[in-house]
Amino acid sequence: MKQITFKKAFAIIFICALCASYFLLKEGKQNFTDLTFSNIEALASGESGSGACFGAGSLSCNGGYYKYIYNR
Amino acid sequence: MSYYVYIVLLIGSLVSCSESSRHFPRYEDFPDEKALNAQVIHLDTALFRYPFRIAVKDGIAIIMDLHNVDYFFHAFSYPEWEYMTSFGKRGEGPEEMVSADCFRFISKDSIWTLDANKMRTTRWKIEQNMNNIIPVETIDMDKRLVRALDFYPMESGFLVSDYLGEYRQKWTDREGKWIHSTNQIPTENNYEDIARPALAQAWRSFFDYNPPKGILVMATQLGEALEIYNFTDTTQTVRYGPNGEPQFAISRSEGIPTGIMGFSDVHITDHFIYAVFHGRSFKDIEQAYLRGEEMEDGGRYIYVFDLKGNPVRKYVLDHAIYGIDVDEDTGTILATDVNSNDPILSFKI
Repeated sequence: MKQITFKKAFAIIFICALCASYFLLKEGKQNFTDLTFSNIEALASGESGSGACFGAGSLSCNGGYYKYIYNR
Repeated sequence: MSYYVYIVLLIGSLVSCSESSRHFPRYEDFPDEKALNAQVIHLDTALFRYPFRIAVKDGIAIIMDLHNVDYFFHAFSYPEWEYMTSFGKRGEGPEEMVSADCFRFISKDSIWTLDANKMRTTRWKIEQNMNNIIPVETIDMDKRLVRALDFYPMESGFLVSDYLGEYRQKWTDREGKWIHSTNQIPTENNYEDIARPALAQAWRSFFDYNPPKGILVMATQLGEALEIYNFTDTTQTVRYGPNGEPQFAISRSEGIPTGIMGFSDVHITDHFIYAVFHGRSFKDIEQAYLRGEEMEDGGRYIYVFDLKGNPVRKYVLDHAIYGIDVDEDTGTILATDVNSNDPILSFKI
């Protein structure tokens, strides 16, 4: 009888932990740190970035618009 | 034993609810196809370097030049095409624009322009003598939006494209303060956390909004994905074309395009959605560049969908175009051509 109760409790705790970790991880996806924000702002303003951009075009790259972007 | 079954079912349901399981309907072809020949509009002035957008209202045509060195916007009388004035001076000064990314011609006293580098939107009005367009109000957008490449002025504030990849649209109040966010990028792939801003960059879309119907349409610049958001009945429709969703490589949080150039403009009327489609691969663009060839820039197709996203007609054009304005009453599509010294074209549909 004790063994069945233990199994029940274990299964319930396991399911709860699984659900909690799933939703916490999902929530974490939406959060950006300050560092991430500053990196994105830097990329947006053209301060850095790995993309090399050339030609007058419509592709947004390093704060301007270019025809083609490739890896530097 | 039954507990293990429950655990397996739970894991299964969690996996099935994750983003990677999403699958959106495809269109393959259009039931009708029609060739259109352009009538070239001859302008007296040579103003343009890269005429990207066009909008016509109340006898005035406004053209946005993405790369102009003096002014980003130029106004003409319509249909006479007589030059009126230019506005939106390029520069670093307080009333000047670092970039022009988008504009919305609502009425003669409500022309909204967007400068993504300053994160500033400005409302302009046409003065009564019709030869001057002046700024009326300026709104600095919330810095937390980081960057906005497309927008639409709403009654409650602004609808703005999301730059961070967390959501699809962001909403601000009239002062530009971010209030809330809606929807998510409709990708079928499962990307890591670090890729979200790069994903948003790859999913950069052009949009148009029909206020009476409350319908927003978005078309991706890369790949071939069309999104329709009906804010009235809160439905969302996503349609992938044969080229699928945007393809890109990730390099240091940036999205580098690897697939095709997709749509370059989208326009919604009360009955249909019109989208300019390029379909040119970046591999071809790269090879042309390496050969030292100047490749045509623009799309030779206008795709027409109904408001549910079902394909209706495909127009095949004799010129490559970028931006469009559609007038169904007169059966006219005006378009910009970035390859020619005669950059305005008119098509009869």
